[in-house]
Amino acid sequence: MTSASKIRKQAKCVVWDLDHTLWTGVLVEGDDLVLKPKIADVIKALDAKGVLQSIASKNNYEDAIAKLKALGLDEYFLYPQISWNPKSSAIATIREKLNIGIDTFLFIDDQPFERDEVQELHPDVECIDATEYLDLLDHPRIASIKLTDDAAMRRIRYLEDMQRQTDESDFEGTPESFLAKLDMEFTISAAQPEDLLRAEELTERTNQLNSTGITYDKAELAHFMQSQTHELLVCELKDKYGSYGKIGLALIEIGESHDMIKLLLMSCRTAARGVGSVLLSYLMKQAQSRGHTLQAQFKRTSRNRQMLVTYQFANFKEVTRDEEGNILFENDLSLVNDYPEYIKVIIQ
Amino acid sequence: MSQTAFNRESVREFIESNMDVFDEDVELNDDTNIFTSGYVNSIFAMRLLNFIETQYDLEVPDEDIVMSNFSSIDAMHALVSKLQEA
Repeated sequence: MTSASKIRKQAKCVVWDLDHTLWTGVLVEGDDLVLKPKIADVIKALDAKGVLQSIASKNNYEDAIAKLKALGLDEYFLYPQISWNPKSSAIATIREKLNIGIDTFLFIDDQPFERDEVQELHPDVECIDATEYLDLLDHPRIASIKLTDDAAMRRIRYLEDMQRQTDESDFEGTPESFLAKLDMEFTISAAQPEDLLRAEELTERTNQLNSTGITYDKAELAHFMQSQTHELLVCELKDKYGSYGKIGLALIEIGESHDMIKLLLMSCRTAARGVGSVLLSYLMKQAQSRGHTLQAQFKRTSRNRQMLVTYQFANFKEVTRDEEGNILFENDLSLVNDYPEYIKVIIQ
Repeated sequence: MSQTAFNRESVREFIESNMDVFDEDVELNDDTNIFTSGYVNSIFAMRLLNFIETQYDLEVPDEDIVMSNFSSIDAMHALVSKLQEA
């Protein structure tokens, strides 16, 4: 059985055990290991849906990776944690590397002891018995995931990101001069019909970097896309490693004398690139060219301090704030900076 | 409890190691406005905030996370003094 039922978010990552979960037999005992029937199909189908996968296994790292390579499955697992450490710490490490919420993790293992150990330290991880692997694709938190172009590319993008992180930690110099070496291109464009599914997905998947916490479905977004008094913008980021995909969204209401940012969100995987500020700069320039001031709706939560800082350091000032943390910001546009030199901004 | 005294040089060094603009041509004086000198992106903003909070063991409340409190070394000095007195 799975852990306590409450309203749960869609799953973003499945963490697998190896011995008696992925295959029958025990690697260190020299058993003849056989993959569980159809398990490779399950892994590939999860991957195609954009569900990230990793491993938490107590084994020798080199031996286990060699075995996964031989089975042709190694490429599907990001940041595999194979060591003799507790699985709760393996999952904590994977969560940190992927920068996604712990409440979006599923953990699958044949041993009740391991599931309990993980559950004890991470009550928000859903722990599943290995015998249930064939039902994974029908799991409500997975079956409800819609297929988008972004989903199919997601693992590749994380792999590119692993390379970025390695290069960044090896780099000596200011963070700005590192950014300058990335050849970043940031494209801001009006949303097109084919962007709506991804836009909906962005509002559902992004929590930390969503300015109001409001999610919009495809129909609502389609309405805003056609509205004369609204602008729905999507942002794409590329660098020399590849494209991050469509990673940002902004909804602006154009008023008589002021523009209102009703939603601003950025995917967590671009959090380290500072592009939220660049999008704000664009919106400030736009409002300025219309002769408008710029306001923004914002909902303060325990997790979005970075976004509050982004707004307030861009000279947005709090006008009102209620008990629920709903803030109205205003920017008098007295200081509108040019885009930073390390990024090429393309407006379509 | 003893409080860490504000150290202009460590703050200067931190800003210089993060913003390229102060590398050669532009001097970072105590009253130089960092927001008008270069581009303060959200990453550097978070880093600067964390630096001040860790160095001086304090938490800057939302209402003080504003440009005017971080615009220069002088402004950050005033902010840290204010929060340490509180």
